[in-house]
Amino acid sequence: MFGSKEITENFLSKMADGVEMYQDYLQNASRVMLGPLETTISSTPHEIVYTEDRVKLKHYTPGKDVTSKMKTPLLVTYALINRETMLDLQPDRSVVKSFLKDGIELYMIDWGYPTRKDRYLTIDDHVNGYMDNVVEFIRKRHNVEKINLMGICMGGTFSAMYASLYPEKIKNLITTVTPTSFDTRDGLLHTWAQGIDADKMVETFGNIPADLMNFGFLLLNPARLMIDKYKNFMENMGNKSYVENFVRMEKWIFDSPDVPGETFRQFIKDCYQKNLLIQGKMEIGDKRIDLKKITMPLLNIFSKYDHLVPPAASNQLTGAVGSKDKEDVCLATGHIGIYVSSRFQQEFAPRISAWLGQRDTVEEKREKVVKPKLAGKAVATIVKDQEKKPEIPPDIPSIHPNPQNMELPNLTLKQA
Amino acid sequence: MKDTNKTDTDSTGGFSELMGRTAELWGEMTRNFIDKTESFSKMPGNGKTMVFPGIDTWENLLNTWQKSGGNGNGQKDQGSTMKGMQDVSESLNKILKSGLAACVNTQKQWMESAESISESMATFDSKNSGPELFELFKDIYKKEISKFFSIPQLGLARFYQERVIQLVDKFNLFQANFLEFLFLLYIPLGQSFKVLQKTLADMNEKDTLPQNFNDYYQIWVKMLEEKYMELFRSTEYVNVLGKALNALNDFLSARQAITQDFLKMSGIPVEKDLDELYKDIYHLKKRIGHLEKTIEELSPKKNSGK
Repeated sequence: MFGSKEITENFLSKMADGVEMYQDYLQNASRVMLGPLETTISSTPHEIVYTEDRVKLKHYTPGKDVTSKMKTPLLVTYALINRETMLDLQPDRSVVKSFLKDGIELYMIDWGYPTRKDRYLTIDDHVNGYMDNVVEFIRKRHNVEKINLMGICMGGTFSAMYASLYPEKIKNLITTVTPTSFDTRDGLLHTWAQGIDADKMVETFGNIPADLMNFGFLLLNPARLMIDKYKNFMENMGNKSYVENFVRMEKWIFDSPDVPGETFRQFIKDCYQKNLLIQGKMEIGDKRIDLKKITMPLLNIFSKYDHLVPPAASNQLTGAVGSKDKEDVCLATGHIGIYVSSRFQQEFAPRISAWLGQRDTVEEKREKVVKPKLAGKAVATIVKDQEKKPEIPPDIPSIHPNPQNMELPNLTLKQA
Repeated sequence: MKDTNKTDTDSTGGFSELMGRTAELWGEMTRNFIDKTESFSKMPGNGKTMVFPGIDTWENLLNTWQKSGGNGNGQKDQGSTMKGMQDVSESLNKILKSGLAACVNTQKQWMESAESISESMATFDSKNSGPELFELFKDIYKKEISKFFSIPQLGLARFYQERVIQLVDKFNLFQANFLEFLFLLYIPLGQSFKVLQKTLADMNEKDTLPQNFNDYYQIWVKMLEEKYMELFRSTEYVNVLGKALNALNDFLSARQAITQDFLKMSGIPVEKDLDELYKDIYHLKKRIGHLEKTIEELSPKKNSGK
């Protein structure tokens, strides 16, 4: 009835045909996998110019060959989940390199790896504490009243909070794949977060383990992230470039810091479960966040096929702020594809550079501060080739890009 | 002589009296036991009468013993020793009667619990899907088994005993919830294979079967993805996920409590101690930061700059 005999015979016949092809494949695969691979990530030279507790500030300077440099420095705030190295994943697909090419003086916050002692750090500590100290440092270092601020994912949410609390320090705000409205069921995270007892989790774990969160992220699409992705890898093991880029992505994906417990608690309860931010009811420390106080120009970029932060969660911000100069940009890609796919290398970073360039007028501070007094340490550690990273366990999972949006070389076995 | 005879007669009568009383005691106990087992065997829901093997033999033997003791008990003289023996036997009989009743009652309760479990199992339709089975197990566990883990512990080591018992209880609950979660994750896999089979049969009828393995795989993985999306958006999945996470948290907390006991014995600071310390450091750092900012704002240099 089901023709299973025919199906089996057909299947076996095809397998037999492919035996010779697989011999070549195995030879190539073993040559690549056993040979030297270049899988460095975050290789663009930078300096560590400021440290405070676990937090570091990376500074990237445009090369001398760049003729047109922007006057206002840009600070990039990444999420507490995964690491900012995603912006500099591989030499030919690097948002960092693209910004530098466009003459942007770039700073990036490296949140580091929280330990048990960081479990009490709240969103208030990150926004009013670390972020404000970093902004102060950059303002004083460059002797400017305002800097540009760009936030990524949860870092974008922090950036929106910061810009509403300190509009006098931010010249232009860019939010990318940033959740600000959480009352949607479009994304699975938004649905699942309703069933999470954040208090109990924080009580049990202290900091929320990256492994646990990564397991959750893998479950967002097990068919693609746990099966299809590795099936494609197996098919392309003979392609050195594919393997190198795949391993780079794996390195980044599974390089996840834990999330400080109190920050997780507030983010889940106030944002995901009560949706307080967009309603102007959220408080951090003793300050209420009123998004209407965001009056600087705003560029809000989000992804059409984002499985983590669906458009419904990220496209509400422009309607909630007080800015007159504001713009929504929806790109037809996924949560990570926006930064790493080859196609969007030309649509994402260059677009931001152009937008900033149009608004790049400098307001110098009246008073020149010689020695800034800061909560952290101003340091200058130059990292030329590769930042010396802390020891990272090789198999720690995190936010997992949809392989369809990664646009890694799409090579498949040739048919015999 | 006479005295001697009387003494012999007395002693013979006393022995007979002792035998008679002892036989009465055991006879009474046997009747009590039979009464209790009869009431136990007539308990609701227990259709069959329970007969303890050998009980008839034991009853007959005691009756014979009583009769033989009674034949030798021709003496009417009730000595004080015999009266004492009677009192002791009555008290002993009372104690044993109560003890036996308690023992039988306990057994009765256990049997009632077992019966309740079997009744619950009887309501389960074997054609039902897995989630009902997990719910049923958790319900039975909660009602009939977990109460044994709540029995108060006594004595010097009661805290440690309680923690071990808690760990076992929480581990069981975690296993049940986690298995239910895994079972849900398995459902789309099974469903996707079923749909694939049907799709391929349809394609075969239309003679449009794929020509290579990769096409088969693509059809299947797309179906699997769709089935997972259906599952993940369901309220049932969110509930099961929440329960599994809570059960994991409870189990880890119970395990942590035991680990901390062992570490404390070795004089090693436990996470709770460190957390208190970290909290103090956290608040101190915040306070120092706040004070530094206040001092900076009040400093003459800053004020003169303004």
